[in-house]
Amino acid sequence: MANNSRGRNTQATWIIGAVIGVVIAVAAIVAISSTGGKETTSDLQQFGTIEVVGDPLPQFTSEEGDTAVGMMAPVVNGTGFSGNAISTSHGTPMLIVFLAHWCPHCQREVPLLVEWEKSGAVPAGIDVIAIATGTDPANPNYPPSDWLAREQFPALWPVMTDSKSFEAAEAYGLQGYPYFVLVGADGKVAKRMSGEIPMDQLTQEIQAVLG
Amino acid sequence: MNNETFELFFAMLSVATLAGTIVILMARTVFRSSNAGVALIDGFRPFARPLSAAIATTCMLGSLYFSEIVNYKPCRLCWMQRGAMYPLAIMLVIFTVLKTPRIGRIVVPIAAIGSCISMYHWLLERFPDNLDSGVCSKDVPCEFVWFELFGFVTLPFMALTGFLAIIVFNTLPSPTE
Repeated sequence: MANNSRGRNTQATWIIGAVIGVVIAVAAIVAISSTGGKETTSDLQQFGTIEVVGDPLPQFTSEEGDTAVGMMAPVVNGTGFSGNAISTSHGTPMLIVFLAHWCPHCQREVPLLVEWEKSGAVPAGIDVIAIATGTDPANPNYPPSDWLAREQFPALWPVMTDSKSFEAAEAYGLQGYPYFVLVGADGKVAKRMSGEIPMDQLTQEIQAVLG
Repeated sequence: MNNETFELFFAMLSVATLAGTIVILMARTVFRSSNAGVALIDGFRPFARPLSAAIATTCMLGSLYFSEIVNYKPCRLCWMQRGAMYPLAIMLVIFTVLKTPRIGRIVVPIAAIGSCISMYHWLLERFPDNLDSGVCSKDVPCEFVWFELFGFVTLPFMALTGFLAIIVFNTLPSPTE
């Protein structure tokens, strides 16, 4: 009887071993056959060359007591996805929006910005410039050009591509995404904000700058 | 083979591991008095430790592949899970080779801690609004989902299934006569 029991256990062991081997083999076969080369390519430039003119802002910590308010904002000269020249030069009130393609909060904020623009709620007299930063081909939702095109990002708002070392983001003191910098017509920082901002709050902040 | 192939392969292994873990757990709890349950546990026992070692090693090598080859950057919680899984992989291989007895008291607490971190990380991915500040950190935030298959299999989920398997496979009841 002991021999019968041992025999059954040996049989069960072989069966279990075979099942484990089959599972691994099936997983490998299905994985290899189900997936093919799916390269995401884009002819557009996802990174640009950045020139920073002026002193960088201190790193953003919170809206309360932000030491950058009142400082001269650096001017960032760069290019867009098509290589077109874009600059944050002073002279008009400006809203600079920093977006990362992989950030879930940016992905939720962009449709709000699009709707804000479409509804005509954007205060007159302010320029909006977006900067695609934090770009990483290994991260989801790459490339940012495709993402913003899908979201129908307003064509009137230029999108600058940050460099691979994120110089534009560093110049404005970015610590998280999304990131907003309001610059007055005099070139001084009026407000910095980070995170998902409701559009009515954004409108109020801009109107405070415009006066 | 591209990254998606490996993602799918590891995801399927993870689901299979979870299924096997549940089967073994059922055999030793609900069906512990039945002949089938006893036979299954007795038949599985020779595989328990080498399979635990293989699972932990696969988890370790898989995480290194995704971070070093594919450049998925590990966040703070990933590193904490690695802190549990990597030593487990090394220990389980050594224990398997040396046939060290009663290793459950060593590996199970480590796997239990790892599984709690994996569970929290997986929940953070599911419910980021409840658990984060509304801002993506400049570095890699832990609610960031590198990939998701079958609607729920992500990197923390794979680690969780590994830890759970190690716990269940190393707490089998004593052999029957």
